[in-house]
Amino acid sequence: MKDADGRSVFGDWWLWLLALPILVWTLLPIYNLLVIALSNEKEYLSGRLWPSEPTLQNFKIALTQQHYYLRDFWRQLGNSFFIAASTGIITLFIATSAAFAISRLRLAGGRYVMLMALATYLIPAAFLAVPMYKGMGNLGLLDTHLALILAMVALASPYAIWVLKQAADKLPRELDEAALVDGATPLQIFRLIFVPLMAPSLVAIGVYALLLAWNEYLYAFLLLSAEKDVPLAVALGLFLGADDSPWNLMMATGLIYALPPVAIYYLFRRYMVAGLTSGAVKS
Amino acid sequence: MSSHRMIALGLASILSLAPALAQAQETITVWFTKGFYKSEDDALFAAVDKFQKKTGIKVDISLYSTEDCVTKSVGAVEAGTPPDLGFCTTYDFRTTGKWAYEGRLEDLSDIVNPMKSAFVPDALATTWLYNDKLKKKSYFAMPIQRQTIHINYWRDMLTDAGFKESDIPTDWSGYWNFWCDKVQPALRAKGQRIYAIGHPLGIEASDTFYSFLMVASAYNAQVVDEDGKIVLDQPKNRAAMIEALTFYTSINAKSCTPPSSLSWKDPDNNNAFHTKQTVMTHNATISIAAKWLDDSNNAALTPEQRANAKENYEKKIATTKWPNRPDGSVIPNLAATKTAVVFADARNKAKGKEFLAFLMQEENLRPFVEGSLGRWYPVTVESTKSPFWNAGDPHRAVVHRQFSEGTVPFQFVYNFRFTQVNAENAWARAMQRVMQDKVSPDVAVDEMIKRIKEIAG
Repeated sequence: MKDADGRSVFGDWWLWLLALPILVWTLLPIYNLLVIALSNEKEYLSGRLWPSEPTLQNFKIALTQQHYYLRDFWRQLGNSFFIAASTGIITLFIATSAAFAISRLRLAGGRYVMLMALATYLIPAAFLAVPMYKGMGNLGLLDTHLALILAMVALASPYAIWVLKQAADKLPRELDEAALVDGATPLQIFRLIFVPLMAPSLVAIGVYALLLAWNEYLYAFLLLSAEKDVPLAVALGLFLGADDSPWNLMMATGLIYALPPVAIYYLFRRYMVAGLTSGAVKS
Repeated sequence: MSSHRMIALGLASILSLAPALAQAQETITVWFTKGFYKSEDDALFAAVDKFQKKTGIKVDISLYSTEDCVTKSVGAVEAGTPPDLGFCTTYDFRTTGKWAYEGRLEDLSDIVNPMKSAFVPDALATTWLYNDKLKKKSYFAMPIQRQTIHINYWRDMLTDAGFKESDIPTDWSGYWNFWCDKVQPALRAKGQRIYAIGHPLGIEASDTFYSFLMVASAYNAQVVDEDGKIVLDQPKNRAAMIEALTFYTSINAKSCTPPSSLSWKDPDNNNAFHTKQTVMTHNATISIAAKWLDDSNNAALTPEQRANAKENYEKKIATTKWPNRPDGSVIPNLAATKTAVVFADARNKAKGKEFLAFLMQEENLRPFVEGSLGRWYPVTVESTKSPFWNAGDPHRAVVHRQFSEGTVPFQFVYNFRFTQVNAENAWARAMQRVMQDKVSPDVAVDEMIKRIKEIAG
């Protein structure tokens, strides 16, 4: 068997030998998730490769909010969307503005901003959780979505600024100079030249920030309290704490929760690869 | 004014206004562990509604999963922003004694003393705690509900194995050998991939130390005296602890519990039992039976599933007490009292106490405790006489009998530092040393004693 370029598909058999176990190892938890989600309560721990009576009842219970722990399913899913989308938009605004100012306007001290952005990654986000909690408490923002959005923006922005600044450096400076000669203001250069040319990177960074917030558990759990305000990730934690966890229901809900990020990734994957690597190599 | 200054001023005014806005309304912040069943939380919300209508104070209540509740509380206490009232069902295991010692809790004597005679003495005794800041003992916590440990088994699986309930021995060795050496081989011979016992061994499970401390008690291994002094290093107690550890790990050595039980967390022995991976298990609370009672009334399930759940609850699942000790005497029931606390650093602690006093009224507390479908047992004498416990329910009757026989408390009641011993799960670590590192039980017990002395000595 040959591929489009005329090479034998199985020519690099040793690569297949290496790739297959890795592929199975990677897909096994997802397969397990699916099997448990499709199992009834008698079978979900039976260890069967496929349930003898596959059922969609767990999905139905989740989607119709019929389990006690899922009675706010749609609202909590909505919270997840709101927090993730807000984080993505605000991070994009901050990072794009910062990258433009540092890279194109050559802002004084920009180099130090970049160094500080990089330095923030020396401290694991989990270490900042309690100080952040205390800070939000002092500001009276605890138990508000704003607290979590601000925290997620703070965590996402340094990386976003770093990547966008590197990408911005690759844009030909002559474009700015030509625009200036034509009488464009910095804001016009930003709006009419910088943003359109940076589109792939902006999409990639927006999706990165969105997914970061979507998957967040620790900060969401710490900063939000009311059951109706938490994102679905935190609500799913209830299943883990209960003495009687209906794993099949939790897996079905988890599967539903995993679908939007997968859809977003595949929708924008063209931009994701181009955007995230655009600043990877200095030209 | 430049745009930069305008932005800075705007931000500053927003930030300075935020705390004031947050405090404009008289509100108390209350954190509870979320109930496993709707009826539990409904009873709490009903009490909250009544309190709000009566006092005009808004109760801002948040419910968390068991572990998240205590984790969040610890974080909030450390950050100086605790709620006004907290009730997490693992406070007693993890933090109540420590917080009382460090002076982080309000004295609740003014609520407890007027209703002292209403409490079951065993329950109230566990909240008489020492405050090192004030150098005094007092009621720094409020008893809300209690738990003890039971055994559950499937009657239909027992029958399938060719045995009757009357075949189950009551002596220690006979009892455990029956499940491992008779029931398990009989079901395996029929091609069933089952294990006889769901035996919690995981470091992260409180079930592990609860069960193990029952076994230690069965072997008369005393860990602390009533003054909180560690006595486990005394030769008699050390030898008894070695026997207890040898027995506890032997269930795994005989392959009588699922291999995964080495890493089980609290829900896992329940799940293995529900899916009939195990024939019996020991569990602190009757949550196993209660799950089927809840399912039997769950409108989301099909009529067949509800009927099956009802049959499981009423006929197929048995709840019993533990077998007798190896010396033939009865093992005392190890009980834990779940405690609510008012934090010393709370913003509105006076109103927090007011709500707690309201919740403690019989007509509010009883529906809350009974809403748990028997998982929690009452702390007031009046509630223990409720028909809920005395109307012939097959599982609750056993719970009621066990509590009526009298209970003994955990070590942390005498020495609060044992909350740390339990949090580290020094008991499960000793088991893992024997099962995984293959050290002898006496070496593992010596290491356990050393660590316990470091933490609580």
